[in-house]
Amino acid sequence: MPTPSTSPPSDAGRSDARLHDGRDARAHVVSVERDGAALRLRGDEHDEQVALALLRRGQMTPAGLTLHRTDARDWRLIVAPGSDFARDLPRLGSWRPWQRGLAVAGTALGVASVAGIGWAGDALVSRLAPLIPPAVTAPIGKQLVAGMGPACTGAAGRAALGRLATRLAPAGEITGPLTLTIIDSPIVNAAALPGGEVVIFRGLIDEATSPGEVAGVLAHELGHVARAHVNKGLIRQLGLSVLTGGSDAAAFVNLALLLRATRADETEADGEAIRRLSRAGWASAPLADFFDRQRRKPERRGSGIAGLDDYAATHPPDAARAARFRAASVAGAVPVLDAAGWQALRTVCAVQKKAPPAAGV
Amino acid sequence: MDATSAEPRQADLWRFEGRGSDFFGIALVNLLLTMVTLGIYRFWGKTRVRQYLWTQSHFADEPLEYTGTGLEKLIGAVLALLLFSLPLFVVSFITGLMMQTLPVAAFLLLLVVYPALIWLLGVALYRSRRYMFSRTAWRGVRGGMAGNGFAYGGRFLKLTLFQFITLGFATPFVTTRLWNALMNDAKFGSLAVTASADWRRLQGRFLLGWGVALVGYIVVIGWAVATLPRPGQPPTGDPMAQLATIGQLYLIALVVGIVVGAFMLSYLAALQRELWGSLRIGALRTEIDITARDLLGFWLVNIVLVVFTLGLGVIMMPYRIFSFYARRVRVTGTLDVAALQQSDLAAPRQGDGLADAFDIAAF
Repeated sequence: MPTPSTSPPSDAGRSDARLHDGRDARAHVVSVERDGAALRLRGDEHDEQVALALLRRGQMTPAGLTLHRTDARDWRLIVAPGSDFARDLPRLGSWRPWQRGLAVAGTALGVASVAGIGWAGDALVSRLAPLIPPAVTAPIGKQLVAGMGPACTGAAGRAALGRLATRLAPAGEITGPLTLTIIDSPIVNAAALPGGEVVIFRGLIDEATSPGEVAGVLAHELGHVARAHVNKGLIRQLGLSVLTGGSDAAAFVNLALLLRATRADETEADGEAIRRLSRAGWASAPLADFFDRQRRKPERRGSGIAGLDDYAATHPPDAARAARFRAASVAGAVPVLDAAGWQALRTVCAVQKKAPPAAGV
Repeated sequence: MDATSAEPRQADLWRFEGRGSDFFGIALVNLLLTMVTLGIYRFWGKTRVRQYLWTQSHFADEPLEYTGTGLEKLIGAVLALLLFSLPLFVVSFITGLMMQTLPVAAFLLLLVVYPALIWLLGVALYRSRRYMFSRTAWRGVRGGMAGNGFAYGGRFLKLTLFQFITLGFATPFVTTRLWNALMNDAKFGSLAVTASADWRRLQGRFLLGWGVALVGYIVVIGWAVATLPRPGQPPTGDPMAQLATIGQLYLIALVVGIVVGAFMLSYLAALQRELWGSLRIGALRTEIDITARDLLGFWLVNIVLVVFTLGLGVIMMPYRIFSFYARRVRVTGTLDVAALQQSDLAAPRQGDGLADAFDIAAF
């Protein structure tokens, strides 16, 4: 189709170009001539001077090089690619020095803050964790506990567990609520959940050979509560889901992620457990025995609760941790529970046990 | 003066000259830069992609121009995060908490939130289209859309609910209505765009697919009820036979799915022909030549492209989708360039962040 085309510069520095003036879709043939710091355009309907400072180089097409004007966004001038005045024009959208500086500074700041969060993130999260009010965490915890299965109702057994907890964490020592629940489930595990909810599964009590082992596990979980490790998990998830643009609150509390405490948190909770056990006058060696047995156990049963597996899965049981408990164990420890209390704890779920549990328990 | 004025012509005025190899280079660089910048570059990458696709599209031998920038897309995305994603996150978090203590109030809240989300999706679709048109220029003349998308959002919500209530029966009606509503708001310079897609020309083909889907659904459910053990009853027989029963069920579901898909392909091709064929831009008319076979080939190649490149082929999808349409579209008729005046519509100042948040932009 016969659209006017551009011509290479002639001897007088003058060339033909195609102008779209932005008012309508017509193409005007204009002659273009450099006139000092301006460009002179002359055609049937146009005779004007455009300061070179207003011109920008746009995209190159087979028809020529497109020039833009900073003061008229729809104005286009298509010139021959070799036009000498066009060579020195800044590119369209190219940044001024101060804009470039701003972009570099912004990028540096962004990279620095990402690096900073990675480096100081855990310290920051640890500071924030105790500040989350129980009003926020309690409903989450209650919901999670309710979803785990029926709670065991044996009164004497629950009282025995309560005695252990009172000894390990005397009233008022842990700020915020603290609720113990025994879940009638064959999983060998225990967990600290948001809102001071501590759950122990029947499987763990069945598996324990002495009340000292249960006390050790409980002391460890109370350590997680005392140091607000669960809240740290919540904050990490909140930060993650905001960053990834997630907006689904149902996916917000991911049990598996929540229970995957950092190694530092586990070590801290171990320290808390040792402190609490020795303060109560109880040995921490039984906890080491329990760890060792879990480590040697080959199979890992699926729990039937999404995101929760056996103790060994949520608490990496390495030899070093067992050794630590053994070394710290107090000599001449007093018994944790009397025979009647232990018996009550072991049968705490018997009251409502209906169908026989899956084989192997 | 211009020789193109008011010259009758039935030839195809549209031409797309893109090449997959050129696009792959752009997309690969975009991918690497996006990874290196933790995702920030993708706004500039998207701009680069559109610049390429637009420049390769010619109307009356002259390339289109894409005038959007990466920065305005970034600003749009930040605004969408602050005004949409963050509030939505807070609301859904609150609802999650209320589920425990105030289930009725939480349910009522959801009853408000979900329709509001569908409405917003309509607004996002509209504004993404508006942004794209306003950043498209030909000979310095811009496109645009006359509304702000809120009314379209309301229509989108109403029609989507209607489609839902009729179990999909009203799909052709809803789809054509929405297309007409969207495109009738569009302008190219001073030229009005009109769309008059008619659902009645599509309903027959659609009903065929819909009916087959309905029958297939009943067959699959019936088969499942007949062959699978009742819930609560202990499974009988040996496990291999049970496995075979389940395998059989999957096979039947697959066959039904393929048959329904085949019928629906014919509807989807007819839908594209109707949508494009009913479009007028001033005295210009568009049409598209798409058959069910084209669509089938298109999606099979897409799947192969993605699977056999371990997912890398995904970066070619914007090109694949754009060129699929751009190579099959025809524009005929006349254009009086002197009468094609500049658009008087205000152009949005930010990019399509809301659409980005909904993840609905194909290219």
